[in-house]
Amino acid sequence: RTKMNSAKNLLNGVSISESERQFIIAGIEGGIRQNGRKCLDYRSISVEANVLPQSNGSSRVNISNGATHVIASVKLEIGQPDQCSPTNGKVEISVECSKSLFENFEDRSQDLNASLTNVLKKSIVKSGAVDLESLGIVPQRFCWVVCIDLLILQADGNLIDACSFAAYVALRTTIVPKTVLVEGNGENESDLADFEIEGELSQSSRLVGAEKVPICITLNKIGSHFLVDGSIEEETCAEASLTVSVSRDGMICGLNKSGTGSIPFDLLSGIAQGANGLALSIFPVLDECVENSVTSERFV
Amino acid sequence: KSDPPNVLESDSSNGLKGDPSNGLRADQRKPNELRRIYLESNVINQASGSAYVELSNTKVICAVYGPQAINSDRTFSKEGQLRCDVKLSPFASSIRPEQRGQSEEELELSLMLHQALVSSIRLEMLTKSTVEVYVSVLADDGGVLGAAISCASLALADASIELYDLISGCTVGYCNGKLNFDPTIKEENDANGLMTMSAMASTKEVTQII
Repeated sequence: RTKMNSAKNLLNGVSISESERQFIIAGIEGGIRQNGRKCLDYRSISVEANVLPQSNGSSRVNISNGATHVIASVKLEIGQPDQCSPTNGKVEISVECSKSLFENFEDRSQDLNASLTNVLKKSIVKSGAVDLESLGIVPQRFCWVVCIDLLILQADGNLIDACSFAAYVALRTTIVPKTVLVEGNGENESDLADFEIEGELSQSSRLVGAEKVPICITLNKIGSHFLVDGSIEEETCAEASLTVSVSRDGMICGLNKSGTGSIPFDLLSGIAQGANGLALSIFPVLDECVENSVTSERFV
Repeated sequence: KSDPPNVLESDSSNGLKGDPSNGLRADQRKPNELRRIYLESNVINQASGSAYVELSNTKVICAVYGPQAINSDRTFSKEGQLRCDVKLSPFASSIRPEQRGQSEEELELSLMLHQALVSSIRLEMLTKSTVEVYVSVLADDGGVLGAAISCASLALADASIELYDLISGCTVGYCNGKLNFDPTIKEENDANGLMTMSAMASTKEVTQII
C-alpha cells in the first residue's frame, strides 16, 4: 500500500519540498544523514549550569552551536500540600516556545507547548524520581513546590531531548534552602507551627532524588531506520517517532509515540535497548557539567 | 450482554478480594485475563457511524461524522483530515472535575487517539474532506485509552470509511514484578508502571504506545 505523508511539520510550520524529502530519505537508506552523521550519532552538545542567578537551579543546553537552544529554570515556591498527601511537596513542569520561533504572528505555539509539556511531565513528574517527602515543610500547611520552566529559544529538531537534558541538569544543581520550624505566634490553632528560611547558602541542600530523574531519547523512524537527534528537516520526514525516557540506572521510565505512522512489533524492544545505550553515553556529559560546574561539551 | 453499572457495589479498598496465593487479582481474574468485552455498533442514529464498547465497568461511546467537506478557507490538502475529540463525562470517574472546558487530560487523550487511528484510515481517498471522531467516556474503570481506540476504530468501520485494518487497544499494568492485563482503575493507581498499546493485527504494526 502507498502512504502519502504530507511533508509539512504542522507544529513548526516548516515545509520541505518533495524532492528534498526524497533526498533525505534516500540518504538515510544509504546510511548517511544531512551533515554526514550516522543514524545514531548526536550533533555536538554543550551544557551549562547556573545561568540564572534568580532561580534555585538553572541550565542551558545548546545543540550544534545554537541550532537548538533551551533554557531551564527551577524555582522553589511555598505552597500547600494536597489533602491526600499532607507531608509531600509537588513538582510542576511547563514548556514554552519563545514567540520568535514562528514566522507568522499566529499563536501556533499552544499545541507544541502542550505536547512537549505532556511528554516531559510524564517523564519527570509522573515517574516519581524527585523525592516528594523531602519537600514537605509543615505537614498539611506548607510544602515546597518545585516549578520547572523550560524556554525554547531556537528549535532545529530534537526539542524533547534538549528539554529533558536541561531539566535534568537544572534539577541536579537546584539549591533547596534549609527551613527551620518555629512556633507560630498567632491566636488560632492553625498558627501553631511556622517556619523560617535560613539565608545561609552553606546550610542549603540539594534536591533528594534528582539523580534519578530520567532523560528522554527520541528516535525518529524513517523507512526502516531509526535516527537519533533529528534536525528539523529529518523530523518532518519521519513517519513516527518514539521517545524513550531512561534513568541513570538503565530503567525505562516512560514511552511516548508521536507521529502518524506505525512501528512494527519486532522493532520495539530493539529500540528500547538502543535508547538505553544512547542514554548511557549522554549521562556522563550532563554529570560532568553538574559536578564540576563547567560548561561541558561533547563534540561530534 | 451489556453490563449495567454496579452502583451498589461495596468498596473493596480495605482488602484484596482476590487470593494472592492463587495468583488471582481482586476481581478473581488471572493476571493475563481480560475483562468481559461488550461491543455494539450503530448506536447513534444521526451519526455516520457509531460504536459502544464496554470493558466491564469502563464504558465508552463513539460517534463518527464524515466524510464531510472542509471549510473552503482552509488550505487545500491532497489527503483527508482526521479530527478527534475525547470527552470525559463529569460522572465518568469517582471525583467530579471542577474545571469546565477541555482539560489537559482530554487534550492529551484526543492527541493520542488521533495518532493511533490516522495510519489505519485511507485518507488519500478522502481529498478535501474531513472525518470527525467524537468519543465520550461514560464510565472510567481503567483502560480508557485502549477502549476509546477500539471503539473509534469500530465506529469508523460502521461509517463505511475505507480502512486498512481495524485497530484494537489494550492496557497492561506492572505491579510488584507482575504484569496485569487490562487493569481496573484501582489496579492502575497501584501500578508502578502502565503501558497502553494499539496495533493493527494484519500488518503487525504498532500505531500507538504510551
